[in-house]
Amino acid sequence: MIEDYLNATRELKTRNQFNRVHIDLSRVMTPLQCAELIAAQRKGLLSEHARGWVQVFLNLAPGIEASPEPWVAEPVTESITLHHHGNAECEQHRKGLLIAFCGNSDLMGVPLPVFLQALPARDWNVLHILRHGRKRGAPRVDIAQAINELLDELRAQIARHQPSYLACVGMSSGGGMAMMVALRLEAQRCVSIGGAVFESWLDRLPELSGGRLPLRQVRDFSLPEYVFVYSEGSEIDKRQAEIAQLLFKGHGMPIPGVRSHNCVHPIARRGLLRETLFSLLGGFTAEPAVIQSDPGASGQVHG
Amino acid sequence: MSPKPLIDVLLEALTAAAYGDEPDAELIQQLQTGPADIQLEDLEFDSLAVMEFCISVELNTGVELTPDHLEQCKTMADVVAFIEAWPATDE
Repeated sequence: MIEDYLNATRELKTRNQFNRVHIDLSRVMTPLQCAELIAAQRKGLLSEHARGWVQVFLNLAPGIEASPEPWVAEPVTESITLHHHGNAECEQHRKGLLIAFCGNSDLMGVPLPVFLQALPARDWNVLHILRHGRKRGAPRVDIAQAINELLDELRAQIARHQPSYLACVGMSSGGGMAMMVALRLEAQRCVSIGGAVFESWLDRLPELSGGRLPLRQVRDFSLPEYVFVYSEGSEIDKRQAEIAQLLFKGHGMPIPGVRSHNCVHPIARRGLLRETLFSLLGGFTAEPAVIQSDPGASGQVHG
Repeated sequence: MSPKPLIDVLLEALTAAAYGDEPDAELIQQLQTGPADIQLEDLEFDSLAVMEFCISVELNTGVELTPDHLEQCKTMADVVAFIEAWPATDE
């Protein structure tokens, strides 16, 4: 990781050139890689241009240096990455699967290592989705087609992981996708952060929701528990949360003392991201798996 | 200086700052008729958008407009003035 970073930045001169590399890395790095960078910075191996960037991680995720969450990234498609625990024994646990939809900036409101550091790798597998599942630069496709293609991939991942708990989270424009995908997959929980149901979707709700919206028409499916998080000081986001509540039920959760659209960053700056996500995700923790290899013996508990 | 017209440079930078979404027609009109009327504060850039704006300007012009420089600009006309004055004598 460090060698790759040094190679990528060796010829760079301007602040903007460094910023380009740093922004791109902030969308893909794991906490372990981030901890490596911090260590390299402390040894004086990185450019002066990296100092402020590294400090962001220390400010937003203080534990990332001493005890980075052991997430390992595994590409699924060009826009979907699976993050899972690096330890195979932990993979035996009855884990949750979190489907995380980034906003337009391809972030969850904070750099990816900060977001992942706030999630226990022993409890969750995470499918991190950029660009709402579309390839970067790809032409826009009809939203119904985009959702259906994404659902195919997500159902394959669910079959692979057999999660004991399924949750969706979406940031900003990713919030609308999270709401709809959670409904279609009958997730247990959906957290929209500053999210909105796009106006262009309103005329197509039955089609986009697979016939589940408007909710009063259909009752034979499991409705996720929806939480609509928004900045208390943002009237637009508050209004969007109210509209989403009308469509999906659930409840709103204002973040006090925040005006900006991105309320995740202030939560992280206050040192509350891990406990906030834990609460928003229903307090889920993975249970150790019971492996029944010998029908005559009692189950063996791992972990 | 870039052969690309400055208005195109700014449009591309605004698109980059909106992560690929093109500016709305009103903003494009303002850019053409009176960049002095575009208050940067009204664009509500977050820190990442500011960086994307500056990166785009540098890629298209070679002008090293940094987030620190942009913070000193109040209107889009100030940005234009910075780009046209580059290289600044005090750099």
